[in-house]
Amino acid sequence: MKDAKAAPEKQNPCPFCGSSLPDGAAFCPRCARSIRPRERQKALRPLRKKVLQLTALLTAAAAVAGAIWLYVRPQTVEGEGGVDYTDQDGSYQVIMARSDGTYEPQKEFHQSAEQGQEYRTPLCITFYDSATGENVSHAMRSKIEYATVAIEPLEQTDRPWQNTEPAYNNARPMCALTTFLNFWLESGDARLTWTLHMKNGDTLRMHTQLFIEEIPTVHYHPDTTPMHTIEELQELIDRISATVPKDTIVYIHLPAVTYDGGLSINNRPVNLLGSEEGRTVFTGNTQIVIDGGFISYFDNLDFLGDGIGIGLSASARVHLTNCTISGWKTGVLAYGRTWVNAMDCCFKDNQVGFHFNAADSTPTHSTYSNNKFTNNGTGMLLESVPTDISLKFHHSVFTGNGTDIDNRCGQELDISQAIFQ
Amino acid sequence: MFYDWFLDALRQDYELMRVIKESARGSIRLLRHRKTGKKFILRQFCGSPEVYRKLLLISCANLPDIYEVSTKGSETLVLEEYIEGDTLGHLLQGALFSTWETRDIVTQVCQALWVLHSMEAVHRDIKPENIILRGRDAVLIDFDAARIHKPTLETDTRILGTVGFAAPEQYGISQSDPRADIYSLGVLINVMLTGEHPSRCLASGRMGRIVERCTRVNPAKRYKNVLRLMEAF
Repeated sequence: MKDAKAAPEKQNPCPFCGSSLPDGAAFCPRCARSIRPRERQKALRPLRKKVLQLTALLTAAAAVAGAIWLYVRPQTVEGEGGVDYTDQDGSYQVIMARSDGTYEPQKEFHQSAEQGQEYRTPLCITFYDSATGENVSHAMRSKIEYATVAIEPLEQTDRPWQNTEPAYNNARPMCALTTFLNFWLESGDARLTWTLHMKNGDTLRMHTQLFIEEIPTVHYHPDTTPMHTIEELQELIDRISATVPKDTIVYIHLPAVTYDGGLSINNRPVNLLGSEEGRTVFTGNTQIVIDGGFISYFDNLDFLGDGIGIGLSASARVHLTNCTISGWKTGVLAYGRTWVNAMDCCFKDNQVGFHFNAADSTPTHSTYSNNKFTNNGTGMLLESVPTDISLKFHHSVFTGNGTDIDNRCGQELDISQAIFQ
Repeated sequence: MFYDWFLDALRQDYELMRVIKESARGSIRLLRHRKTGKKFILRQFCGSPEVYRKLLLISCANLPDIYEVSTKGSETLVLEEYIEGDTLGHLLQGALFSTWETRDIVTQVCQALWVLHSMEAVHRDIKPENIILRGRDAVLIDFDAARIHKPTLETDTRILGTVGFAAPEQYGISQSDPRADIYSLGVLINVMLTGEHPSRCLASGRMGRIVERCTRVNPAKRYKNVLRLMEAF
């Protein structure tokens, strides 16, 4: 820049004509050319209002579309033990629980187990209409694309929780889906996630904490505890009933003796384990009457009668394994609120081998496998069976009975693998 | 001295074609370079050269090229490109402009102002006489009244501009900033469309609404800048 004070003495030649120009000159007046480069200004390109309006319109349309999408988009609903879920048809309370009889989401799932034993328990999904409380599991099941159950152990274990594939279960018709959980005490605590993938794209995810508590056990052995006579055994059982807490599982390891006289087990379940060195025999009526509690396991026992009376009368949940029931008017009578199961047992020479006449109980096992019904007047008499689950007689053998199975209550049976000779 | 040297050089190599304007503030002369025949405008005026100096470095289709600027005391000497064409003022004496033509011309003036305003300069004398139509180009001339906007000043130090086109703040209400030029553009638009100042006859329709917003007394209520005005067209 130049002004009156600028010294014109310093000279520079014009790059075009060579004329001498004062320092800082922007123009050569001699050749009339500008000697300083200029910056070309780019034309301003404003956004036209129409473009702005179009943009605003598109933005508004996008906002509306976004709002619609937010409303109809596939949703993921997550909760502990259950979720509240709304689809295009209504609102529902989805419950994860052991059965269909509860409206309470099962946020925690406590199980008791004893060392080395394997257990199985159901876990169900039930839908209720939020407005009416009506069980709508059947209708909602048709909206489920598929379901998964994942169990994440919370501690290291060699025997993790396992589950069957979620499916409709005939025994739980009020539930949409049921899975069975298999576990051991060693399975430890875990977190279960049940995911329902709905056909409309929604995802329902329910969690529950699985806890296992060890069941205390106590064992009685014949070398330390008097139990060689029916009196000693009865006294032991009575003492156990009076002193051992009911949440303790009791094992009585019986000697290879014959107990003459009847035995009565009341108040609490006990497990009677016959000797493996010989047979443990009961010749009198054994009666077990317990309301609830653990299953009583009777293993390796012989109930031998003289043609009259009842070998084992049970109004309690009893599982018989490897037992012989012979020579009774009725070998085993299940009555009242009970469930009696038998496997690997022999019913022979009874007027009735196994008489099922129970009600209001929950089946604990539906398989009657590997039994032998031999020379009974009636091998199996089904007067009343408290379940519509099919009883399965896999590999059970019926030989020489007057009537193999007298199914008076029309119980559903699976005898496809039974053998009738 | 450069000023004197440059004036001498012009006297030697250029001939005066005519005096376009002469007043107490200064003069505008049309010169022709004797060798090449190229025409130039020589401005001599008492005032700030700062806007012209900034324009030395700029080339814009809607602004004249400024070739040289020199000062001596309060006098400023500017040699600039001669824009051959009619001024808008001349054309407006015989006709009005259509909306489309008005939008086209004012948009080009906005392009020129965007360059000025980007340099923090305010023209402060937007009027039909300072717009030359060169073919399809509209060129904004005469930066004698222009000044660099100084945010720290509350009022203009000198009242410059043309009555009717100048914004209220140019009369000392507050310091003029680029929105003063927007005021003048609003008056210009209205004059191009109606031949009248908007206070007497506001253009109808959309352009009238644009004029109305350009000419609000409160600068804050006008278009924020020429870009917003161009977007409004």
